[in-house]
Amino acid sequence: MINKDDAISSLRPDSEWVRRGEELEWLDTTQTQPTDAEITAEITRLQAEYDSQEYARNRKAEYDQLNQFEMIFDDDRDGTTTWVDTINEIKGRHPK
Amino acid sequence: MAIVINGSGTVTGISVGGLPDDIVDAGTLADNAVGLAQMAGGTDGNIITYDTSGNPAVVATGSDGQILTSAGANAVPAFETAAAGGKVLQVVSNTWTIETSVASTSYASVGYSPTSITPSATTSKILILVNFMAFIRFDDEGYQYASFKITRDTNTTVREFGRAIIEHEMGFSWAGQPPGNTAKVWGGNFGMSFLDSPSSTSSLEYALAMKCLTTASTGRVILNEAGYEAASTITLMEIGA
Repeated sequence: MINKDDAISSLRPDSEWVRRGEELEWLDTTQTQPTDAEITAEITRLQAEYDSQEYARNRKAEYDQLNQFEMIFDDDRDGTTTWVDTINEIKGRHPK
Repeated sequence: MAIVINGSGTVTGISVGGLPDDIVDAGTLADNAVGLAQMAGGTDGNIITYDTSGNPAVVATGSDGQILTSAGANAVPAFETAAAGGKVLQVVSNTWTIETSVASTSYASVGYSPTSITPSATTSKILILVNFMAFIRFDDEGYQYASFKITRDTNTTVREFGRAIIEHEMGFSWAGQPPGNTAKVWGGNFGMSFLDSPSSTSSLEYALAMKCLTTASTGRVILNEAGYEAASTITLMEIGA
């Protein structure tokens, strides 16, 4: 879940600030404080970006469960297509 | 007056002091027959006891505020000044759940943490107990840490706990980690305590402050992170001298 901190860090990288609940204290002397509207818009943008990558996160979680090097080796040795078939199956279940 | 024995169990005609001395024994007195009115007067504030010989005696009247103290077996109790009691004179506690994020390399106070106490004597000490849940955030490989300190009246550092959370090349993931992002979060529940000697009878405000090593790569330290049902507490105890 994208929050206000993520939006501030995205809008003003490396900036210095403190957020106490909903109150933002701006400490940075080189960058200007983003407006509430900018922060809200950035939260929406980052959340959309995050949501759009859900398929990739799901695929990666399953890829990480595989011993892919061994699968590739076994396929090469045995003339099978287990690795390709498994990757295709995961991609099919988590389409873009 | 003539002494009359009427034959029905009643003797009349005996005047006060008319019986010989020392002839009434315990068996002659009925149980519960002696009331306050029958007892000889005494000194106000005295308490009836028994001396070391087992004879009735009185405990001498004490002074205002003194308490009756047993001296144990074979000794008469006495009124004495009470020994010093418990040393905890007062307790103040503050619990908050509001999230605070500090993206700063200088100390910044944690919201809702300021807690006040007014010592009753300049010789009192203040025992400060702080418990909190905190995480450091860093979206890059490398080194990040968070330091904490307890402040008194904003500007006085009571005690610093430097680098309480340290992350170095750890592989932890953040729940909201975007794909390909190396965001890392490291932390947990922490406790700090310190015995302060403020030498004051004025209202004192203690608070928690924190900072992180770097704000680069979204570096920050987060206390009471939302979604973790976290709570933080500051408890102040005045300890008598």
